[in-house]
Amino acid sequence: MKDSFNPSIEPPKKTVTLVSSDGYDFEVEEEVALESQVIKDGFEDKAVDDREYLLFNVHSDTLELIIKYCEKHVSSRKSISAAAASSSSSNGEEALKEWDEHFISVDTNTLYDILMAADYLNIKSLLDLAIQKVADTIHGRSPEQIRKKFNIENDSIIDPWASE
Amino acid sequence: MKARRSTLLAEAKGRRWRNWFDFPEDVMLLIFMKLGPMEILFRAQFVCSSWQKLAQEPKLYTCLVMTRCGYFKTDDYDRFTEVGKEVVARSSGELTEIYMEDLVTEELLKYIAEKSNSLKSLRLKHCEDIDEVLEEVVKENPMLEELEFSGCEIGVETIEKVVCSCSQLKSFLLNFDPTRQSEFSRNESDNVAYAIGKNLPQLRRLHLYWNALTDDGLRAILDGCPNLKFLDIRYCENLNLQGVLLQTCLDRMTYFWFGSDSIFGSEAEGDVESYDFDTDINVKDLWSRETY
Repeated sequence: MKDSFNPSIEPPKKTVTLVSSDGYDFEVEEEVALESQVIKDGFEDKAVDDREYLLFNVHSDTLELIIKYCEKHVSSRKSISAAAASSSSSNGEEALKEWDEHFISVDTNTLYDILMAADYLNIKSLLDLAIQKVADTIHGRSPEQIRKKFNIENDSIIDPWASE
Repeated sequence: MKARRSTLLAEAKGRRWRNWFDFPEDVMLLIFMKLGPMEILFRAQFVCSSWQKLAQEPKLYTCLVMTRCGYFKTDDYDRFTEVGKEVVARSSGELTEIYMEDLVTEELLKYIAEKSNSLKSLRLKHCEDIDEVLEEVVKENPMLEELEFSGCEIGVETIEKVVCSCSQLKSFLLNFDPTRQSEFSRNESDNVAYAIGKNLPQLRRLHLYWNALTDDGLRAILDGCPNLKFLDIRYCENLNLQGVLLQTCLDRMTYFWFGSDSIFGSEAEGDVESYDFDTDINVKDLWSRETY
């Protein structure tokens, strides 16, 4: 079959390969990977066929979540700015906030992994989101409840609440 | 999207350890910053030794917000003082903002005067017997940009002295609470107004709720504070506020409340609290004078 010229077909998107700590390849669009400041720094200096990143600190389970987050944010940003350009009203920001809230409602182990990965990859908005979630989880809990929630061992700290 | 790679990267086998006190310290600090001094002092620092160590970081104590609610019993002035002093000590001079209610003591303010000299904001509500030490705090903190005394029993001479030594003030709230304070006379109130006009050229926001000032006092303020954009003179019954004076206020102020305008107790209150003097952000249209 012969390829015919069709202007409606977009050029193939440039991709980047991310490799998780347990050895899985993830091929993602360039703009999605660039949500990570660590990848962004020095990205232009890398040869196009060498755009592969070994993420020794990020497990594939976590990386999948991180990519999902970045993809969502890239696409939301586009639709929000498109709505702004056509000055049509949009509740894009609200919807994204809700999506974030749902995204970060995970168990403490997953939250830990996301937090570590967001810090390692330097994805600021995700780091902020995860930090706020941890703070919310700590908020209002007694030291004993916090230890239980995060599986922290009490290394002989005198807890004034325990005696009450 | 996900493809297994058959390379040197070995799968991390077994349980992945998640150690909540092995976070990079800067990340853990960000989490603690979200908690605030009270939550750290009363709870988080007792979780484990590494959290306790982290809780010594001065950066966590730049903003002291202390109300009775949740942590202090009704008349527990001693505990309030003790905890307040602990925050001030831990801040190692980095304290920039203070908001305290109800249980403030002379001893605590004296300690603040001794240990802090980079305060930008000092807000007190329902405090009394603090005149002398208040002058000291203000004297030691020449960078103050925001001052609030709401329902505080403070003598008129002290107020005047405080105003005279705070030339950098951008925001001043002197809100009178008739249920707990003795009223200033017209003359006294006008004297405070003259002091404001004379000493606070950078003022952008002024609340004189339930004040006894007259048109003369208000004129002195308008003349002396060219940057004033935000004026609250509700329930100031000695004001005539007509003609040119009223028009001047309406023309110059972006936010203006007078007479018996009702703004507090509504959801809008939070917007006033978060008002940003430098960029005018965070204030909804709701607040513009066009709505009145």
